[in-house]
Amino acid sequence: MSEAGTNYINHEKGIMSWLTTVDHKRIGLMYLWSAVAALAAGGFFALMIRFQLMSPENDLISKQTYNQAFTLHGVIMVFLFIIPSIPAALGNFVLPIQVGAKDVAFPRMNLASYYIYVVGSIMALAAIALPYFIEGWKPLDAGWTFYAPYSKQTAGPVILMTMAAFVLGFSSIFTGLNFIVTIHKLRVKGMGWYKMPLMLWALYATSILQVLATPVIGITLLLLAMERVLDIGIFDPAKGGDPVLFQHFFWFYSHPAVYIMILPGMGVISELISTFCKKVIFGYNAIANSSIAIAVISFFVWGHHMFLSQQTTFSSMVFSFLTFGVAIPSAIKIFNWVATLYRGSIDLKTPMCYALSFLFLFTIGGLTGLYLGTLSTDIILHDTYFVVAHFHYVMFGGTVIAFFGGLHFWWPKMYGVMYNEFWGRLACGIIFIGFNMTFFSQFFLGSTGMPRRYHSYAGDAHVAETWKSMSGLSTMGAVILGCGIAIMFINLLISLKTGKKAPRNPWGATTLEWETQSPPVHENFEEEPKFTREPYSY
Amino acid sequence: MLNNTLAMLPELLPPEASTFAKDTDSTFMFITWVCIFFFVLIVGLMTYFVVKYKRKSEDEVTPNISHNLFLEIIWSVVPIILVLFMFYWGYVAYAKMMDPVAVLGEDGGEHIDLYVNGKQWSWDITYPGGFTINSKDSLKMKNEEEFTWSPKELISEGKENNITSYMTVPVNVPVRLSMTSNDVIHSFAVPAFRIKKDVILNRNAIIWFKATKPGLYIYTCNEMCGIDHGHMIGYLRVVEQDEYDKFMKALDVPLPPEKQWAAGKKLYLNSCSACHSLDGSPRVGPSWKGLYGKKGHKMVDGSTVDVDDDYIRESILNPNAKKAEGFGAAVMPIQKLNEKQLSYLMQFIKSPDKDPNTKPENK
Repeated sequence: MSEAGTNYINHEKGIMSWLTTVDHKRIGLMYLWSAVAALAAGGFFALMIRFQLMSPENDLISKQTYNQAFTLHGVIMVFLFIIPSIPAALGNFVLPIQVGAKDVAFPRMNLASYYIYVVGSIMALAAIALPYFIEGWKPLDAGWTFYAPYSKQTAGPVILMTMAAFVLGFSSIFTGLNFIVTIHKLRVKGMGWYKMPLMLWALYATSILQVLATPVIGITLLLLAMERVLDIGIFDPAKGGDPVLFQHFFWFYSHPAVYIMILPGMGVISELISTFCKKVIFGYNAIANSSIAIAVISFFVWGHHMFLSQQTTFSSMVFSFLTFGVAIPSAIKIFNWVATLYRGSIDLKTPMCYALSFLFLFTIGGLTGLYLGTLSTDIILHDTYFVVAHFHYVMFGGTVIAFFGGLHFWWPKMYGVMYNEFWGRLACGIIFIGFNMTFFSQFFLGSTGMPRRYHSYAGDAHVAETWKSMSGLSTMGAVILGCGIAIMFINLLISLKTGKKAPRNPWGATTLEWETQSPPVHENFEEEPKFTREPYSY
Repeated sequence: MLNNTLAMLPELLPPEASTFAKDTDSTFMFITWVCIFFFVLIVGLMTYFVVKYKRKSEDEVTPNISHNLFLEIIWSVVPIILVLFMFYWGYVAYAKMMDPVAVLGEDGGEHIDLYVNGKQWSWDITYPGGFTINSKDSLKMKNEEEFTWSPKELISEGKENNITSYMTVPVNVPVRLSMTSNDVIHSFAVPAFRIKKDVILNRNAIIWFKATKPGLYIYTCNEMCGIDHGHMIGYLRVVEQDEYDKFMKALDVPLPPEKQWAAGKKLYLNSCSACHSLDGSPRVGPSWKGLYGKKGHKMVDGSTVDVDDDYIRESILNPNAKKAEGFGAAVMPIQKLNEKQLSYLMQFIKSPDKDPNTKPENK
C-alpha cells in the first residue's frame, strides 16, 4: 500500500479490537455479516417452504414444520435481515464518510445498538431452537404477524420471539437516532441539505421512521406478552378484547417498516444510477423530497392491510385513498431514474446490473400494489399468493437487490479489493431469472384465489392445473435464485484472497467516500475533507 | 396466433359466478392494462437508453440535465388521474359487497339468510329453519338425529381433496351471510364470487352475494388459524331453485318416530336441565315431573292454567308470558328451536320418564 500503511481493518488486531470497537466501519461490517447469516437462515426456511409446495399433496414436511418454516422465514427476514441490511450495515459504513465526519455522532451508542441486535438475535435463535430441547414446548407457528387471538392460543414460544423483536427494535431506534444527529450536526462545511448525496436523504427519512414507529411495535408486542401471561383481555375477544386493535397497532408500525426497508434501497439506487451513467441525477429535489413525502404519508396508510378485517367501510375508503397517495412519490422516483439514463454514459458494471434489475423488478412490485390498494380487487387478492408475490417484488426485487448492488458498489471501499466482474454480472443475471420464476408465477396463484400459508392446495377443477404448474415453476425458480446468491457471495469472498487492489475511486463517483483511500484509514480521512464539488457533478 | 399465445398463459382469474364478478374484473383488467402500459414504457425506455447510451470511452462527457418541469408535471399528474379512477371504482364495488341493506332493499328484500360459523378447522353452515351442516365428521356423529340427508358423492370426492365443509345455495337469489367464529380469526373467501371477509369471535360479519352460474366452486379460509388452516376449505354448490328446494326439503325430513323422543331428551339435557328437574325438586324453574296434564296450575298473578300442548308451546317460545307461582323472579331465556325440535322436546316433556314409542318387550 503506497498511499498509507494502515487502514481501519489492520490498524488494530485481534478479536477484542473488533468486539470493543466504536469505529462505524467495523460496526457496519459486523452488522453486514450478521445480516448475511440471517439471510442464509431465512433462505433455508424459504427453500423448505418451496420444496413442500412443489406439488399439491406433498408430505415432505409435516404441517407443524411447515407452519414453523413460514413463521421463521418471515421473522428472520424482516427483523434480522432486511431491516438492518441497508441502514445498519451499508449505512453505518457509508453515512459518516459521506457527510465527511470521523464517525457517527454517538459511536458508543452505535456499538450498543449492535450488541442489542446480537442479544435480540440470540433470543430469536433460542425461540427457534428451544422447542426441540424442552419438553412441552411447541415450535413457533403464528406467522411473523402474530395475529391475536391465535398468537395467544398457540403453544409456540410466542413471548420469547416477540420479546426478541422488542429488543431488536431498540437496536433499530439507536441506529436511527445516531443517523439523524450525525446528518444534522456532522456534515462537512459547505454541504447544505440539498447538496447531500441522495443516499443520505434516504437514510435520514428511514431514521425518522425508525425512531417514531418502532416504539409502537414494542408496546404492541409487550401487550401481547401480557395477554398471554396475565390474560388481561386486551386482544382476546373471549375476554372482551379486540383482535382488530392488535392489527391496528401492528400495522401502525409494520407499514412504515416497509418503508424502513425500501427507502434505503432507493437511496442506493440513486447513487448507482448516477455514478454508472456518469451523469447528474435527474430531479434531485424531487427524489429528495419524495423520500420525505413517503416517510410522512407512510404513517397514514396502515389500514390497507385491514380492508377485510371488519374495519368500517369508511375507514377502508380513506385508507385506500391515502394508499394511492403514497404510490405517486414512488412512481416519480422511478421516472427520475429512467430519465437519468437518457444521454448518459452507461457502464454496465456489476452494481449497475443490479440497479437496472431493481428498476425492472421494483416497477413490477410497485404496479402490482395498485391491485391491492384498489378496494374491490383487493377482495380477490387479500391473503393470497398475489400479496406474497407483490411484497417479494418490493422487498426482494427492491430492497435486497439494491442491497446486493450497494454491496458490490462499496465492496472495494470496504475491503480495498476488486471482485471478478464476469462472475459478479453472471450471478446478477441468475438471481434476476431465478427471482422472476419464483415470484411472477405467484401472481397467477394469487389471482386465482390460492390462500397463503396452506400446507397443501388441491383446489377445484377450475384452478387445480394453474396451482400445480405455477407452484412447481416457483419452486424451480427458488432453487435457481439460491444458486445465484451463493455464486454472488462466493465471488465476493474469493476477491478477499485474490482480488486486485482497489483504487480510491474505482467507479469515478463524486461523493466524499471515494476521496479517501480504499479501505479508509481509522478515522476515515487522511486530511480534513473539503466539500469541493456537489454530488453528481460530472 | 395471439389467441393461441393467450391460451397458453395460465388462467388469470377464477370463474365469474356472482353479480360482483363483472365489476371487480373490469377494474382488475383496467389496472392490468395500466400496469402493462407503464411496465412497457419504463422497461422499454430503460432498455433503449442502455443500448443507445452504452459507455464507449472513459472520457465521455454527459449533458447537465438537472430537471424538466414539464415532464415532471406530466408524470405526476397522469398517474394521479389514473389512480383516482381505480380508487373510485374499487370503493363503489367494495361498499356494495359490505352493505347488503341498501342493495337487498332494492330487490324488495327477497333473500336467503345463511349463518357461517368458522372454527378450527372447518366451517359450519346454518340454513333457514336452523339446520346446521357441520364438517364431514360431525355430519356423521354430532348431528345424526337432526340430519338425514347426506351428500355422499360430494363427501367422497371431498375427502380426496381435504374438503371439510359443504354449502348449497340457489342461483339468482341474493344470499346474506352472517358470519362469526368460535375461536381465532378466520377469513371466509369465495374466489368465484369475489367475496371475502374476516370472521371474529363474538362479532358478526355481514356480506352478501347473488350467484349467477350453477356449478361447484371452492371457499377457503384465508387467515392463518392453526395447524389445519390448509384444510378449512369447502365446496360450494350453486344449484337451480328447484334443486335448492329439494335440498332444503331433504334437510327438513323429520326423524323417524322412534328417534324423536331421544332427540327431545338430548335437547333437554343440553338446554333445559340446568333449571328444570325431572324428580320434582324445584330449581330455577318448576320441575317437569307430573307437569304435563296438570289442571289448575297456579300462576304468579293468581290465575290458573291447564298444562296442555298450547301452554307448553307458549312457555318455550315466549317463556315469560305466564309465570308459575313461586318462580316470579326467574327469567327464562327465549329458546331458538325450529318446529321439529319443538315437537321432539314436547314429546319428552309429555313423558319424561320413558319413551312412549318403545313397544313393551315381549319375552
